[in-house]
Amino acid sequence: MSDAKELINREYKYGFVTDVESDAIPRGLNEETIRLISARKKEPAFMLEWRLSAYRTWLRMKEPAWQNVQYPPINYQDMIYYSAPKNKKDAPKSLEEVDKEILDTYAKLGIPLDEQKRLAGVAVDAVFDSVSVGTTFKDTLKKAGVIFCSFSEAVQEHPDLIQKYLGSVVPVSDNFFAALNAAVFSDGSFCYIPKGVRCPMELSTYFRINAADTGQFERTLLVADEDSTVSYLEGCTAPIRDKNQLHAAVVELVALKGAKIKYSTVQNWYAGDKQGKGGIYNFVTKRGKCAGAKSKISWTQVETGSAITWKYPSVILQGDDTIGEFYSVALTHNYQQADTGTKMIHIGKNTRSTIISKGISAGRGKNTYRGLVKVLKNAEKAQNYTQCDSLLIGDQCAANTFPTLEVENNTARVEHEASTSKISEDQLFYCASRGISGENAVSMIVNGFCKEVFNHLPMEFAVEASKLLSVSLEGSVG
Amino acid sequence: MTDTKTPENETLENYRRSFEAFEKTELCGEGGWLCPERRSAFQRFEQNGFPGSKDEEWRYTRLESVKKMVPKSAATASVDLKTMEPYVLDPAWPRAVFVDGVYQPALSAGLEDQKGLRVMSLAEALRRHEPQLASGLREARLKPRALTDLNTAFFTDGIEIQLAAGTHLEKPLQVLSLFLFAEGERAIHPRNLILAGPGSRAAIIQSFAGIGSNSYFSNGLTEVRLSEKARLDHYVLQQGGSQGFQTARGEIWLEKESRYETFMVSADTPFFRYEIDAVLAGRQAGLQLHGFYLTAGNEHVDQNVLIEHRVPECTSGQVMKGILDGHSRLVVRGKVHVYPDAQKTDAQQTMKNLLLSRDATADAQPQLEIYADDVKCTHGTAIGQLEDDAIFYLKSRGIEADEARRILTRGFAMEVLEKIPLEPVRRAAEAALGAHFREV
Repeated sequence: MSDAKELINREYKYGFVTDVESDAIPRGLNEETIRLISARKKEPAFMLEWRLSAYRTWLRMKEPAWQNVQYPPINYQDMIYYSAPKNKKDAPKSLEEVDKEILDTYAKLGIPLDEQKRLAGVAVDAVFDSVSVGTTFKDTLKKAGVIFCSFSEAVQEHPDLIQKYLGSVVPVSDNFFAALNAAVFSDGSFCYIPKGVRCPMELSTYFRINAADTGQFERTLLVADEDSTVSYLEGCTAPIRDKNQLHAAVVELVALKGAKIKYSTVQNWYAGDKQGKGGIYNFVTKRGKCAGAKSKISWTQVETGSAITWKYPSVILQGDDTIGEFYSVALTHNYQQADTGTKMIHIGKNTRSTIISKGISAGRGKNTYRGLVKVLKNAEKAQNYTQCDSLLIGDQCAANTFPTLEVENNTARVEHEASTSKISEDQLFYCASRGISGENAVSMIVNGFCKEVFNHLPMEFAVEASKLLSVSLEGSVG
Repeated sequence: MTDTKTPENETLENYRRSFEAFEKTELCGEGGWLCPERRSAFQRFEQNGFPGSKDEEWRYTRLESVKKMVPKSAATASVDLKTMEPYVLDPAWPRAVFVDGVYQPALSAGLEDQKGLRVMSLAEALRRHEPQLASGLREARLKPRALTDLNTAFFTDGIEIQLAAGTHLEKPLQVLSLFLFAEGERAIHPRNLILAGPGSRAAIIQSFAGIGSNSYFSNGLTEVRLSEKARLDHYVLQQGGSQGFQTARGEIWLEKESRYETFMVSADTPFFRYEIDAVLAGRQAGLQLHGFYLTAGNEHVDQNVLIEHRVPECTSGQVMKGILDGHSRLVVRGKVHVYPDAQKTDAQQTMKNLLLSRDATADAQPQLEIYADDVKCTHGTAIGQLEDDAIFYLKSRGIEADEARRILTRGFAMEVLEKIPLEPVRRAAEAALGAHFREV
């Protein structure tokens, strides 16, 4: 089993630190920090006000403790809340002007920006640390009328849209980490699809955490106007680090009448080493609102990284005949912990939601599905189907399922199913008898287990996701 | 002290006064040994107060109305045989009868006949300084909870049932609790202890019926301990007429190869919170829960189940079915917790709720917490109304819509009801269902 050992001991593939001089503001958090961030970003007054009100709300809030994860207390004063690559002052006008080292970073990640243009028609708004350094395919998108830019840019150029939709789905007071994000978020992506437009390409953002001790507070706002369609991809990797890094992002989706949003995530941040040391804390608030009738929001996520993943991509089904979907694969290995799931709030008539959640626990991993399906009084004929399956690999891992169903309308139909199983000896033996090694057999079985979710990923992601699972599970079977 | 009279403080103050008065009575001091335990339980309760909205397990159920009630213990009431008769499931069965939480020897019968069975009222046991009872209560593996503490502080009566090793109870034993409360609002805290010796077998029915018109708060606690290879069928039956707030808790401890099967029938109950907390502590122990809940009007029923698989090779099953009408609310929460070493666990959970009216609310929380890998755990939950297709089909066979609904609802209920082995209990449940449809 020397092969297996080698695989187990393999270091995190994407672990490195790019040596770019950071323009960081001092550690700590107070109103001054927020004013500084806002000033650095030359934000209009309404943004500063909004940030400050969020900060004041945050001060009154308590860090939640109900979630089924454990981590040492976070010192919010011992963090750097803003760091921008130095070269920002004379912002790059084309890729050639982008810092060589940054481009190299992307090359190491396998997503060189200059190649992206030729690649599969995917526009990338890459967030390197906290400031966007390059945006591609702007022209193509511009022709279609699609706005896709960094959040800071949007604040400058489309303040009306920002003012209208920012915080409309996740209000600042929503939760502890959302309030913190609202106060200090440095950048993120903004996307607006105009009426009747089908976005000509899949939109994609690569997030990357860099510069030691920088908490990342991304904010994504995606607005799909009436009858528009968009598919958005989000993926991430991060360098090896000893100290845990907090990542508290907020994603807001707004779907107006007849709009369709598909939001896919592949998350592969540094998960800590085999002893559970280091790794990213991924505490994210993601929520979409089907504001108009017949709109649809679909979340697909593959969560394999992070020491702790804690997020519930949710859908508020406000308009009549709206659809919410959640497809999730969460894998925990070594000492990883995941507490994830979704909330489907049925408000409008004939609203439908589907939840498919696949949790895989290996090693000492801990995986929790937590979900809420709520059917309000006027949600005539609302329908929900939920399926949560857990797969256990090894006898020291944990799999929990905590669904909640609240139904206030008798015409609703809500169903939930859950199962827990392990990869049986029989299955492995059968594969072995066909000449398939243990590792491959596990990978195959796991991929089969997750197929229902992978089917909903865009093609490029589906390939990456299934590779990720195999890599993440290395060393889980002797 | 300045004026800090929040309703919460007032409630606690009422309880404090009530406890201080109770401490001076004979009932509290009886047995002597119990007093310190009561006091520390009460102090804990005072510290924590009633469970509130912040408590996840009480998310949907409020005890506000209970808090408003000034706690007074019940005086002895008398009920004649005729009043009791309709609630006796079978006169041939041995029965122990309580009125307002106080044991009634005159209404009870047949308790001496069975060899190996020992039944005694807790009040009597306390008076007699029953050593076995003392040790039984002391051994209690009760989990710290506000209502448990309240019960420990205040209980005065209840039943103690002991089955000697190898005893096979020929006839089921009915423990009937009648609530009259002729003197007005009262709070009672019945405490029961069921100890099933090795290899014993029995069926015990705990049934409740309201025969008065005053409100009350009954906070019961039943401890069940099954020794090796013991087998107990435990029925909890609501027989209607209840006017008050009832909370009850069963703490079940299962030793090796023992089996506990419980049938819960709740109908016509304005407020009922029933908690089952079972520990599968010995290998190959088994537990099966069948729950049937019929709610209407403004009723609020909350079933909360926790099953702990602590050791390997145990099985547990839960089937809970609710039929909701009117403005009622049914909360069903069931958690299966599989400990790290509990391999080969087999746990199933099914919750199905049928909503008959627009204004009823159903909440379901089926939970699995699993720390072992070689297990088979599933749960399924469904909330909805009758299938239009099914009604249409029956109509096409010449059955009227109303009748079709009745047939289908009955069919939905039968999955649980037909599992009830005791004929009189099954009949009582079916009668409740029938009565409900007549009223509609």
